Amino acid sequence: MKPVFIGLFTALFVSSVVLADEVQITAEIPFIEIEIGDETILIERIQDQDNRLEGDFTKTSRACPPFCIRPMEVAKGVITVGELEVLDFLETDVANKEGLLIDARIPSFYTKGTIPGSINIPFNILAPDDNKYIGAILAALGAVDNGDDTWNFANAKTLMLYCNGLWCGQSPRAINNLISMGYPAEKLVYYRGGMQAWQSVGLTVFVPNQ
Amino acid sequence: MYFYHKISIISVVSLAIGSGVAAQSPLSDAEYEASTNSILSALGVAPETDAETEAEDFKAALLALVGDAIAEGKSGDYISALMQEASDDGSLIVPDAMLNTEGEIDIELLLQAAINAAIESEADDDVTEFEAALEAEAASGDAVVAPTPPEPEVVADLEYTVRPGDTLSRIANKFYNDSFAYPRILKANSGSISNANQIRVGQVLRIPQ
Repeated sequence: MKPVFIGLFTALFVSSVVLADEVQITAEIPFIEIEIGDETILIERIQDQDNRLEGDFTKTSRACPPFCIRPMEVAKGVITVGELEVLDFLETDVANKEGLLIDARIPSFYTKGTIPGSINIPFNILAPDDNKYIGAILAALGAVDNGDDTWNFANAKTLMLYCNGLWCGQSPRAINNLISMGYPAEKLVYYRGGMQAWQSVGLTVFVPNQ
Repeated sequence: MYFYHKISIISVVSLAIGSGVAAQSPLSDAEYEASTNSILSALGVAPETDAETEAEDFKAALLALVGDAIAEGKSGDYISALMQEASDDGSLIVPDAMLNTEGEIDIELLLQAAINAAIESEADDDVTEFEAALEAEAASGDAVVAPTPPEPEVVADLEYTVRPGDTLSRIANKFYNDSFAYPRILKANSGSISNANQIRVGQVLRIPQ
């Protein structure tokens, strides 16, 4: 993984050698370490108990529309999860290459900081009517072109999508676009809390290209 | 590519902040292609342009091998033997798309491809000289038949159903009169062709025009 978050971890780790993590993920899980490909990803919580969010994710009242509160069921049959399920998904599906954690935001958000182990597939590129290269993405996700404008998703990966938070429409739109192309709802998962919820509990943020 | 990427970021940021996702406006094809390629790289899929590079490199290698022999007017059998030998000893690596359905070097196709490429490269060097030579050949009455470009068709992508014996390069030759143009077909069907030598009889391919 990139030096930033390894560096961040090292700093945290040094302090936690002396003092075991006081801010664990759960009572049983202090932190998680996941092998994804040839990278090791570490996710834990910020140990400074006085730490507070700053900046964009402290806002409460963005204009709605468009920044409206999203439902728990964003599309029929798509399950909605929280942080522990995201971690579990990374440890199992992503580590086994059967699933992908997808940051569905546009690249300018992604590059500011994302969930470790996720990849960026912006919602607006998953546009079946406008992006004529969409087939290459579906194929890379494991779908097979039937040759008659339909796709076979039997071996397609399970996708867990998120964006900025429960007021963000980017991942719901990505999910609905995928469904409109035939992606099975049972292979789609929505992490509704998104980056805001992730950061609100001090979980590790990965900053790409640093 | 980076340039287009930046544009797409800017246009979408203004969109997200301004009118919100509901009023999403489509990007240009070039922006979609660039963004799609970034996603494919992130997914560990080789960019589609690899096939184009491979075809170009192979064309150059083939010309280097038999260009002189063609210019000297050697026989088809001689040139075929030259290509077969180079393929056998490993000095000429033939792309998968240009192998026949048996997975062997497609000599007939390669010979035609090499001659076309040699003519084309000569044309690039000196168009008027080539034209003059063609006229002279035509006048002599026993001209080597120069490739006749197919009539340009103003249509959307054609569809073609794969038949026994077809390979991507043979289909490219059929539609574009250029066996090296198979990456175009590969690209247009990237969703359904994962491997250049794995097209199946009955499969319907999009043929971009």
